[in-house]
Amino acid sequence: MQQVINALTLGSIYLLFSLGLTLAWGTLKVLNLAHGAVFVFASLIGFLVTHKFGLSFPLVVGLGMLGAGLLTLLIDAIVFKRIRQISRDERQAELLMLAASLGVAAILASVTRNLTLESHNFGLTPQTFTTIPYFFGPIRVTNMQFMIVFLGVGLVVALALWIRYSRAGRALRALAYDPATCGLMGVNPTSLSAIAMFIAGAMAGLAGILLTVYLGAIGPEAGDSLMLKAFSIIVLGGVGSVWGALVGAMFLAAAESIVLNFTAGGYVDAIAFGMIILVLLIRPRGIIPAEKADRV
Amino acid sequence: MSALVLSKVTVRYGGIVAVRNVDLEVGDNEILAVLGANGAGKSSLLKGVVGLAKLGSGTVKWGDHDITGSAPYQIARRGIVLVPEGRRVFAPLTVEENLLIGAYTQKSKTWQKSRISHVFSMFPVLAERRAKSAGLLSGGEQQMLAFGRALMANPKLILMDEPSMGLAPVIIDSIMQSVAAIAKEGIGVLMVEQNAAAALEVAHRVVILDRGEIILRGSVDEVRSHPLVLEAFLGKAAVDREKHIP
Repeated sequence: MQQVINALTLGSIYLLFSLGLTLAWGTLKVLNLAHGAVFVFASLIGFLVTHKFGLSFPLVVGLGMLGAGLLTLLIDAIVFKRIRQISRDERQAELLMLAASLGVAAILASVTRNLTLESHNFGLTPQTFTTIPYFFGPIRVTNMQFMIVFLGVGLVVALALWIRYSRAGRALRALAYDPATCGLMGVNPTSLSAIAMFIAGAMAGLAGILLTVYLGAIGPEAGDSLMLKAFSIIVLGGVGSVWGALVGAMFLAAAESIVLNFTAGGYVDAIAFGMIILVLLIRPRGIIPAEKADRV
Repeated sequence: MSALVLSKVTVRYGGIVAVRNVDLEVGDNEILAVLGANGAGKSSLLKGVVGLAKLGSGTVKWGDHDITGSAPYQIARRGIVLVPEGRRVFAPLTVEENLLIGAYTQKSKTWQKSRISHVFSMFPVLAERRAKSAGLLSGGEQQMLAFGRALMANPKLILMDEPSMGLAPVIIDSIMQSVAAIAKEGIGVLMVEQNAAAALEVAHRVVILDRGEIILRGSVDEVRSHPLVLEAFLGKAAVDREKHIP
C-alpha cells in the first residue's frame, strides 16, 4: 500500500510534466525537447526567490509557473515560430523543431548550472514548505503527496474539460487537424498556439516546483531523464491524448515501483521501458489514442 | 452595402502565373459564378482573395477596406468566409463542434444557439447527425456541413470552391438550391465551378476564366448562348480543335 501511495505521487509528477508536452505535440505538432529544461528553470526560479527573498510557497508556485510559461512562450516566439514560417511542410517543421529545441535545452541547462554555482543539486529553502506526515495505520502520507496527487489528477480533468468544451480547446483540436481551414474560420493560429504553449510551460513549471519540494533538491540534469520518461508516457498513452497521459504516467510509475520493490534497482529503467515497448508492439497508437479521422 | 472588388489581381505559384489581371465585383444578394476548365486558376483566385495565396499584384477591396495581403483569419473576421475545395470539414470533431468552430468569431452563446437552429432548419440532416464525427458523413452531408459552418460565422460574403465536386447529380441539385437559399438571405456568393450546367442554374452573373484570365463576363442569359461557354463545359482542347479547322 505504501508503494501505491509513492507510485501515485511519482505518477502525478510525471503526469503534470507530460501533459504540457503532449498538448504541444498533439495539437501544435511541436515536440519541445526543451520541456525538461523549462521544468528545471521553474525550480531554479524557486531556488533563487526562496534564497534571496524567502517568498511563501504559493507565491513560489505562482512565480515558477509564470516563469516557465513565459519561457516557453519566448522559445516559441524566437525559435518555433520562425521554423513554422520557413518549413516546406509539417513534417520538416516537426523535425527542425525537434533539433532546435534540443539546442535550447542545452543552452538552458548551462545557464542553470552557472546560476546555481555548479552545485550539483539545488532546492527551495526548507522553510518554504513544511512537510507534515499523516499516518493511516502503517501507511505514511505527507501533505505534499496529497497536494501532488490532487493537483495532478485535478489538472488532468481541468485540461480534458478545457480541450473538450471550451471555445479555445475546440479551436485547438481543429487546428491540430487542419490549420489552414482553421484560419479560414477566423482563428488566429499565432495567439491560439501561444495560449497552448503557455499552458504547457506552466504545467512543466508546476511539476518542477513540486518535485523539487518533494525530493528536497534536484540537479540541473533532472529534466533529461524526465523528458525520456514523458516521451515514453505520451507514446504509450497516445500522442495528444490527455487521458492517455494519465494512464501512461501511472503505468510507468507503477512499473518502476514494482521493479524497485523486487530488484536491487539497477534494472528499473530497463524493465519499465521494456514494458512500454511491449505495449507499443501490441497497440502501436497507444492505449488511448487521440481522436483520429475515420473518413475524409 | 458592401461589395468585394478585385482590381488587376495576379496570383503566382512559383514561376507560374495562375491568375492574371482579374477585375471583378461581387455585391450582396448576388451569386457570381466563376467558370472554367480544370487549371484555369479558379481556386487560386479564391485563395488570393482570402489570403491563402499571396497576390503578385493587384488589390482586393471589401467595402471601404483594402484587405490585400491580410491573413486568412483577419479576412474571416471581416465577414468573408471560404468554403474550401473538398469541404475540409474537421473530421474528428462532431457536426455540432464543426458548426461552433464556424462561429468562432461570434462569441455570444445565445446568438450561436439561434444560428445553429437556423442552420439545422436549412439542413435537417445535420441535426440528425449533430453528435456524429464529421468524418463519418457522406460527401453531400459534408458539403452541407461546410455551408452550415460558413453560415455560423454570420458572413456577408461566402466564397465557394467547387461545391459540386465529387457529388452525385441529385445531390448537386440540392446543394445548388442551398446556394440559392444562402444568397436569398442577403449573403453575397462567389462560386467557382467546373460544373457549368449546375452553376448556371442558380448564378446571376457569370465570369469565364481561361488560363488565369477572364475571357467572358455577363448575365447568365447572355453567357448561356455564347460559344465560349462550350469551353467552360468541355475544356480548352475542344475549342482549340475547332479553331484549327480552317
